Amino acid sequence: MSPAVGWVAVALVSVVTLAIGAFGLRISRTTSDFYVASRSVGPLWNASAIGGEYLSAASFLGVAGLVLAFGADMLWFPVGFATGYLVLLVLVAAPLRRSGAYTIPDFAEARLESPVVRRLASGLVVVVGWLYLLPQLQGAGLTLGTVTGAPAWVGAVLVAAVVVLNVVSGGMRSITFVQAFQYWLKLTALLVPAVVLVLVWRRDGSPSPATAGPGWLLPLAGGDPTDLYQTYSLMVATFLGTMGLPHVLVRFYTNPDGRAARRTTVIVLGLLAVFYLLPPVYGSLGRLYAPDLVARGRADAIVLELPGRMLDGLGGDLLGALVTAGAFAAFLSTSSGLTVSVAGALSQDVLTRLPLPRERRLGGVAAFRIAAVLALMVPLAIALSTQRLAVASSVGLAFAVAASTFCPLLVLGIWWRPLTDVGAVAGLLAGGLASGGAVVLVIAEPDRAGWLGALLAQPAAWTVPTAFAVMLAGSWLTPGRVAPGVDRTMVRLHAPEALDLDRGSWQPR
Amino acid sequence: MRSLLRTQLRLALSVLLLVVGPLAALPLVFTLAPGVRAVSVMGLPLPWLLLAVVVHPVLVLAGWTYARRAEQTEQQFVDLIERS
Repeated sequence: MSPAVGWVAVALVSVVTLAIGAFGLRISRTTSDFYVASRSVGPLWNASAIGGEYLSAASFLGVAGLVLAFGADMLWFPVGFATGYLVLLVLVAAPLRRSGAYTIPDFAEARLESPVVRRLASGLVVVVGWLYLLPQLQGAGLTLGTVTGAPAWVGAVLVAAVVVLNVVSGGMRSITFVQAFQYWLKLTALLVPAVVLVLVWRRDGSPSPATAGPGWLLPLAGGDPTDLYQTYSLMVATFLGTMGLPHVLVRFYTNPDGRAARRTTVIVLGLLAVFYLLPPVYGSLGRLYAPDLVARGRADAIVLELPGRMLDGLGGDLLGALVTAGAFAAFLSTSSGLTVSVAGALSQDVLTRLPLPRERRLGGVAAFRIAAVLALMVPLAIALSTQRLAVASSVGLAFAVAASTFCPLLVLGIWWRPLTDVGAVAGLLAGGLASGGAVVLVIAEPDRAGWLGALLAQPAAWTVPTAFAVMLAGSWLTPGRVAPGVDRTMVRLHAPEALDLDRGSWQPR
Repeated sequence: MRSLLRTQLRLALSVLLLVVGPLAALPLVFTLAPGVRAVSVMGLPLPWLLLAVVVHPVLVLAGWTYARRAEQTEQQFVDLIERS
């Protein structure tokens, strides 16, 4: 593809994103607009926005790349990304919305009545958010490099700049419109080329990608027990980690009530189902038309390169531009959502509490803007200085940390009355340190072999049970520390809004 | 209130058991009975058909059924409270 076409696609997505953001700006005025769009967004809009935000670089580029490189075992990634939403729907969607909290730290504070748990949860939101932002920025560098030949830092800096502009000017309200637009853009950008490419493949006589050998075509073909462990660990991480991703949860507060939160989630499941049919198509066709990418370590670029490999001339250029636009939409939408969440945690629990003289204290909106810049600067610096992990593997690590910390906090908080603040802190620390430690070791040395390598690369299967066990044990040992208002909180979480009940007086800040 | 919570939790866990249970069994089946992996349905190997296609409509259907049942439970709870 010619670099000019690539640049046009990228510029167009960036400009449209900023323009929709500016349109939302006119209606976004108060602090609560910034965080949750004042909860006045319809269910299809909201579901599209959730889908738009969730389908990240990992889904758009990474899954196809992994399927191309490793075959059937990697199909568990899209399955896990989608199943995570079912788990979220049945375990947390409605109660979390009814809690009335904006963020996970808000929920922790409301349920456990403890500022310590709140601050720890905020810290973890920042860690998970940064871990997830990292592959988005690196993916942007890869994409821009592939289509225009620009050096890797250009794409990362471009995405960071557009996101900061958008978040700082409009907050969540504008983000909701942008995200909804991005879902449909991403779906179109993957669906239209896929249909055309499948037609080309049929014209070529429908050759089978299976010639690559059974190791690619069949799951668990190596017969190595670590493969089985990794498959299960990935399932644990993605099934349970989705509910703990900070940018996913914050979306649920834009539903008007618990019932709407459930219905929205069902629509999201449908939107994801349609989308996730597509990446395996790219991965399989790549096996036939671009097998050299694997050996060159550029499997993540398969979605971008395939149209140009299979079609000559204008057709290839146009479809290439379309997938490039979709990829950029993926980076922008996920990064925006993550930035809003990380900035929310930073501004509410760090910046507005700085010990400054009264007249220099930061107001809510000002603190949020500064926090948004900080939220992107750190992962940008890391993205520019470390070696690249495969996009989907580093996203997998973010899921593992979320599953090892926020999943037990949310599930036990919602369904288990005896949870105490001491138990929660102990569990968050145990899960966070175990999974976070594994992440640090993997980033420092990505290519460890054998069982140690497997346990570190996919830590969820041992860190999630550890976190649950510690949280349960800690709560059993401190029965006197159950929050005094727990009964009212449980009513608030589970009773339908139609009932006039005492739900306590807690309000999010 | 406790009965509402228990009913909802039971519903949630049974949905998870019905959907996630069979999914979780798949890798084990593929390992213990390698022949199953090679079965081909409509030109697609069984693992690809299940993981890349079939799983998605199943998830949507499970989610839709769950949401309806959960709403019914809540409506019964509301009726119960308002009658008393």
